[in-house]
Amino acid sequence: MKVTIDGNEVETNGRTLLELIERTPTKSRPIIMERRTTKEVSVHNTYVITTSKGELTMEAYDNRFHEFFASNLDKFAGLKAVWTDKKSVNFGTLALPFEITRKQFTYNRYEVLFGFSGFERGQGVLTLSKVGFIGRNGIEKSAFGRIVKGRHILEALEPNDVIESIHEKRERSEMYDYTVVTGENVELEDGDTIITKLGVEMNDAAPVGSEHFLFLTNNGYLTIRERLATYCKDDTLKGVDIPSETIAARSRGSLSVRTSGKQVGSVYLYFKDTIEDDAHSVIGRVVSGIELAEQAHVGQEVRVETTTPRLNTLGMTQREAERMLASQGLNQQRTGEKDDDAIVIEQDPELTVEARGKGAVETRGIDPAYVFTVTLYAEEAPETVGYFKTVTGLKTRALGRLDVFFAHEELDMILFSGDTKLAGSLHPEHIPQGTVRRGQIGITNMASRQRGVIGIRFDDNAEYGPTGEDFEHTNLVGEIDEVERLRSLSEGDNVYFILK
Amino acid sequence: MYVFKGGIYRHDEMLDKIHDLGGIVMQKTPMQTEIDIVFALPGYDLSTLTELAHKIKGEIHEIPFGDMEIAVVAPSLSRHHLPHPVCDIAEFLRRYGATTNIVGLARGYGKTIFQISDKERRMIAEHDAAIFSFGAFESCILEKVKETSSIKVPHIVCGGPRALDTVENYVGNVGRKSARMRSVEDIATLEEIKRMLMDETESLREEIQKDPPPYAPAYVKKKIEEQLDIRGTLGDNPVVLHLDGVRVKKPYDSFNGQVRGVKIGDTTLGDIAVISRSDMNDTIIVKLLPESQTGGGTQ
Amino acid sequence: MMEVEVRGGKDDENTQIKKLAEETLKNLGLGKKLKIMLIESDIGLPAFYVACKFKKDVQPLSLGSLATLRESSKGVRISVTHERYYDQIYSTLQERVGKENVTQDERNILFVSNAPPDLDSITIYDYTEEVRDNIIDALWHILPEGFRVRRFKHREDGFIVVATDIPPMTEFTNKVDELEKEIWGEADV
Repeated sequence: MKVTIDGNEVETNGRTLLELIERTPTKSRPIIMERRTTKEVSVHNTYVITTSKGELTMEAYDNRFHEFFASNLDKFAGLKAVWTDKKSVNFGTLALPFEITRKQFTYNRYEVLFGFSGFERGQGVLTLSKVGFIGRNGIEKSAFGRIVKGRHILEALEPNDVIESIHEKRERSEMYDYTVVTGENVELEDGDTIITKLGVEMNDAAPVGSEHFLFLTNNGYLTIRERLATYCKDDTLKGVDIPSETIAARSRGSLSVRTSGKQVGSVYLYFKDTIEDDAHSVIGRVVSGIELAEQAHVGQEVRVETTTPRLNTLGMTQREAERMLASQGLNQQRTGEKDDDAIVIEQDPELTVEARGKGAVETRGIDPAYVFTVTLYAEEAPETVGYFKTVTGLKTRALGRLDVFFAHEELDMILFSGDTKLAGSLHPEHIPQGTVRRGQIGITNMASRQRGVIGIRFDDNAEYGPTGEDFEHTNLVGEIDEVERLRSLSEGDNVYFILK
Repeated sequence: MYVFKGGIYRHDEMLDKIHDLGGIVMQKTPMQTEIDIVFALPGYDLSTLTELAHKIKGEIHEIPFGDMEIAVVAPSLSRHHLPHPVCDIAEFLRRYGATTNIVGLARGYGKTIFQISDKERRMIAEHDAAIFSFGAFESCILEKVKETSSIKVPHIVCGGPRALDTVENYVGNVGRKSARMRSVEDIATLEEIKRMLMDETESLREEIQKDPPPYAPAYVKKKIEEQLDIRGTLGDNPVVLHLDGVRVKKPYDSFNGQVRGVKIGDTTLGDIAVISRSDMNDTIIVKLLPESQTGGGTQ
Repeated sequence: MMEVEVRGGKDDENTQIKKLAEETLKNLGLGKKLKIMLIESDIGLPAFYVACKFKKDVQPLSLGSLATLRESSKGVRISVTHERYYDQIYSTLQERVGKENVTQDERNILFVSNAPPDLDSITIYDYTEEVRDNIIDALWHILPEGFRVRRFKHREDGFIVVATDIPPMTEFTNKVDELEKEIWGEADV
């Protein structure tokens, strides 16, 4: 039995679905299985008439003339246009089994009808009308269909043009049956398609937007926060300003990022062809597996694999950076601390697209003594964590930075500067209970004048928070290990943070 | 076409969402603390906008004739027959989004001499639909209706007698009026005209959908407005939507080249449409060609 | 109250024209001036016959009905009660009895010397003319457009018109006589 996994055909050899794929899907990170049945069906009462000038599509009425037409399709193939005028195009001639009448009848524009030329039974014609007319066509109300597509061809038809063929219109209809797999085993059938990830190609014309997307999916997943028929959206990075780089039509599979409005920074994946918009910069496209995103529910995460991985060495050691860059065929130039253990805090060029274009990357290192690993309380204090990430820059980078604002040998805490304006809407959240442990990071909330200040204590304290404020003025946002290393810092030093 | 009616507060969320969904904002009318946003939207996901509208205490209505230009034809526009019922009909349809033009025929009065000239016929044919209002007498209407049989756009005939079996698409109780059509009965008549027009144009819409133009008229309108300098045009609607194209209210001779050159996708408008001189005030008519003639597009 | 009768067309058409006529006349303030308005239509031709009869009080206004007349030492003393017609009274008197014989004493008092004996029956204003004009104006609102008057018969208290857009025919004359007989009676014709 053969199945297709992400575009590759695989022989199962009796293995189950879960044995075939690399990672086990979960409820929040599903994959889908697609079972496709293709069949060709004829479209009810619709015919395609191929002439020497092009194709016409006719929709037939339900009457006896249509019955005659449908059962004698082969008789009409090969008929020549015997005459054409302003009103109609007439193909003939052939014998028709209808009563002859000399009365007048009304016919509408683009109707298809039978008639007798010269009121002789042997001289039947198939008439395609170009305009509505009242005429003596020889057969009572013989219209049996209407041209719905390719009407311009009627004007082009001339005497001696030929009907090459007439057949019922057939449409391939593909039936898809999707099964969203969230961990349980599903029985496979031959020819099943399994989609576990979106294949994404970045748009090199949008370097900032591409970097934005690469950072968003750094953990390998795109979160579906809104899913409509037109698009799905991940608004994790909402609020990050992105310049407008490429305004283009958003076709099926396009990835775009909003560059203005309240949703600025959100990433959209389009399922339908949509026109271009000034507020959307197209940053890449999904080349495979879009059905996965289409079938996933709000809140689920879908795996993303970009053809070109992100080239960002921030937070790595110089040695790790060198390995990573080398694996992508790029040279490293070390600056600052050049030791293997030094942590990279800056990279030039910073954007993946540009780095790849240049072929070499300059990495500036720093003594690991200045770099701390931080654990954030994302569940307990989401708003405060957002503030901390924005101030440190962790929102769009792997490495964050804070400036020491106050430190003294005799004081058992250290303070970092924050953003007073941003902290204006920082509500009290996750306030300390009982004691504040050493190493916990506290932020003064909007209840105090000193709002926004970030601090860490070197010892436990049951009375005041890490920024020296009362407990109700303090939000706890996270904690760091190796607190002792902070004691040696002084005002003006920079401290770097990596998320655990 | 739809309209959002709501407060200014948080209306930017509505605008953002329309843009996200690939909609086109046709018109924004702020009125102190209220705003009306008229927009065109592809068929999907209207429900999410309705939900959002509900959340921000607004509402969304469909505008049935928002993308149509309709001719309302009267045999004459004489002063001593005012008020004309055609004015009421035109005004009523405008409430549902239509752009209406009243056509007074040059030799339209009198049973014996009634005629629609060739030029008038062409003018009416430029519209998406036409409404004829023909007097109070049955035999007169029957005489005049003969002239309308050659009008190819969907049309409705109005007149005084309540019912005329032999006339297709007939609405009675219009005829001649001595006052504006404001009574309950008159409003019911206007509603009947609207309903009949919706039925008629619905089939036209379906027909166009079977072989649609590669780009929607609303998108073409947007592109023309972006690329043509039409700010100097008098009147508030320089590009009027039709079901299968647009009318650009600019002189043909000096502007048809520019209109032809408007870039849409990777073609120009001249390649996907027939652009001709209108008989109405020398404006420009753009009729989009169907897909079977031009090949596919993106929208 | 005025009476409008419409006939000749179908019921539907007649009611509609009747309603139109009534409302148009009312809007033009003619409701109280007309006794009968009869509209007969012959759509086959097409032609419209309209006959109107005014009410009895629609007559020319005499001096006696607009002012109080009294003999005095300075001649006839005329005290104008309907000041709206003052200027017309003044100018008509000057015309009839000579400028030198009319003098104004107070704002609304005139003296006429050498007055003729029929002074109080002098016609000051022919009010029927105004009514006639207004009704004809109203007819243009009621009748379809493009109709011209092919025949007009004047009577002291009314008129009959034939409006059509075809050339004159003898039928029109016959019809006018017929309507006249119907409204004004056999003896009067």
